[in-house]
Amino acid sequence: MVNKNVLIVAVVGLLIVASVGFILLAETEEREPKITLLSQVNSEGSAIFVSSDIATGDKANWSDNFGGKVFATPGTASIQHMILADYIASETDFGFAIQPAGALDDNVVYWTQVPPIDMKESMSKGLVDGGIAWEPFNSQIVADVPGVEIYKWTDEIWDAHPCCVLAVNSEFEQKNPETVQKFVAAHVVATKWIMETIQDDTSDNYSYMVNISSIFAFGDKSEANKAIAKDSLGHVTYDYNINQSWKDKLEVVIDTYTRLGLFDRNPEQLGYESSTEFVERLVNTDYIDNASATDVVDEGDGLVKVKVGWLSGDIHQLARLVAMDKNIGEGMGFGDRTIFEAFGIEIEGGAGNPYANGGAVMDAFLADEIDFGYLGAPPAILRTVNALS
Amino acid sequence: MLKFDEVGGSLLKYDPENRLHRFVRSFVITVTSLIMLVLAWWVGALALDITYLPTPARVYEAFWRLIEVGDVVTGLTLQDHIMASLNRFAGGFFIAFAVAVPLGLIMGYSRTAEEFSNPIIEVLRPIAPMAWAPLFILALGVVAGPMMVVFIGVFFPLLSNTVFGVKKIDPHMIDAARTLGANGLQTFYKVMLPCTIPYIMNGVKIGLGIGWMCIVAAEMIMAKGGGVGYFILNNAQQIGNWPNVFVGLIIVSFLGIITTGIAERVHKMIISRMGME
Repeated sequence: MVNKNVLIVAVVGLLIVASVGFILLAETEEREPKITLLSQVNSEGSAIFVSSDIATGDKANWSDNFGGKVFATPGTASIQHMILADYIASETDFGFAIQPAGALDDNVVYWTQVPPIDMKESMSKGLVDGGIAWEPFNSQIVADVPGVEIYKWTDEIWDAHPCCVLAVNSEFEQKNPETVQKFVAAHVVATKWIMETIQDDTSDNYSYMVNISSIFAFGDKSEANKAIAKDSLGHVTYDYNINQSWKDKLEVVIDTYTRLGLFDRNPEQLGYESSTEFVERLVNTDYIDNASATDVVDEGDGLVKVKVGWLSGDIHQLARLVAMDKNIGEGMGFGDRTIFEAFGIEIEGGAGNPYANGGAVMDAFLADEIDFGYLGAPPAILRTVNALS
Repeated sequence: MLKFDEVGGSLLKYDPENRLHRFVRSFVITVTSLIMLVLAWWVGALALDITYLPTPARVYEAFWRLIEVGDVVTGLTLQDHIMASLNRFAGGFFIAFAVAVPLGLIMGYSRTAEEFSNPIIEVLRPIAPMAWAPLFILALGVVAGPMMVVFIGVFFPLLSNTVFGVKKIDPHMIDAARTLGANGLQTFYKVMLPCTIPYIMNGVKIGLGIGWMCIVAAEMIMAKGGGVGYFILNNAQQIGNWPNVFVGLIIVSFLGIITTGIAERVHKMIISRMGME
């Protein structure tokens, strides 16, 4: 009869040997990017705002007053955080660190994460001295909190910087290219409508666009909020096109994240020849190129249900709002249908939608909770690269 | 035929009375168990090949990178995150200790006090500490808020154990003290308090474990100045750096083991000094 301790030792030993063997012999397959970028949504449209403590003297020197002050950002993966971090590093002599619980050092600019929708309250209560947000929250804070001023719009720091993008789950794209084509076509039609409408601020369409923006961002269309929404629309550049210049800027985002050390492994360490190759793999312009040739479906035809994620109150993502609006669809001759419905698409929000920031949208992508997402290009890149590691 | 016990003679023979044998046996089993855990994790990570389950080797690399360059996202070092969590944890723990122990002694000593306090405690006890977090953080701020979540986590087990300890005191001991001339106050601090200490320490051990869970979770809601919970959430949700997330998880585990280990040691020392082994 074998001693039971001997049996246990033998089984444990066998398991260890088998495990080590498996670890030594296992080969993992190269992962594909979880998402594909289909279209731009907007560029620019964010700003650094500061309290009256900072906004003293010549505006060109306000950054001298940043030391020991706390700035709110939407989160470390956002384009806003990246621009602020990069601006502090390149244009000032201050360090940049998270707000500590104790005393603040005058040689450091501090950040704390605050959802843009809550930044107004943080500024009002004096919890932060400034911040960086997407529109319409910069315009709202300037309008509603006494003494707050815009220090710089982000296009003054990085002209035509990439901002929100339309992304699709890569597996979904491979299985449903027709649906993706229709979604992109609807997005392009909606963006074109915005680009045309924004040219004439006296038109009925413009007033309507201001109304829906105000309701989306603030929950109502009071005169004060409409004025803020109108102001905001003027600070955002809406565009769907993807050109080489835009792709080059994505490479700058990748290089910046590499420099900041935010990638677990950067694209080159993951086996890509360069940032350029990674961007080419990540971006697919075929759908944009074929958008104008995509036909609307007949009324009464069945709709394909897709799950979409977007950011809370982000006026950058107005195209999604426009494409989901029945009145705008009717005005464009689609009958009692939204633009998405005219292209055979029915929108369903993902669980947790709308999301607080791009990181949360990427979580939804990684959990296969959404098929399409509107989010900032930087969180899309950061999370995609880190998911490949 | 040779029997296994005869192989190697007495060298392989385990003697349960021998302290060194007991130590070696315990050490080998513990190390083997941990090796098995790491191997199971490693095999699982390779077999599943999913983003959010890195291999131990990648986590090891991430740990050394964090030691060398710190947390590049927050500008803090790993030690800063650990100290931030420890400070909040210690604050919450000491407040809980200062409130729960005297209250538990009074409740155990006075039936009226127990009857009065019990309804309040029973209403509050089932509320999970984390359910208080949003309220505390909003009402008390990002420093005191997470501390109060720890307070709730530690308070109830400590209180229950203290009350239980007082009730477990042999009534003959109290009678004997009184017969020997001790007044109420003397009976309280010369008989009841010392007899309750082992139970209080048991409450401390349980409370420390729950407190750790609370602080990490509370920091995930909001925390000023970093913290291990914040570090984990930020790396998971914002950056997607999963090896860093696992470094955070391992730190939480180690800190939990160290704090409860210290409590266990103190518990044993007290029991030994009081001759209660």
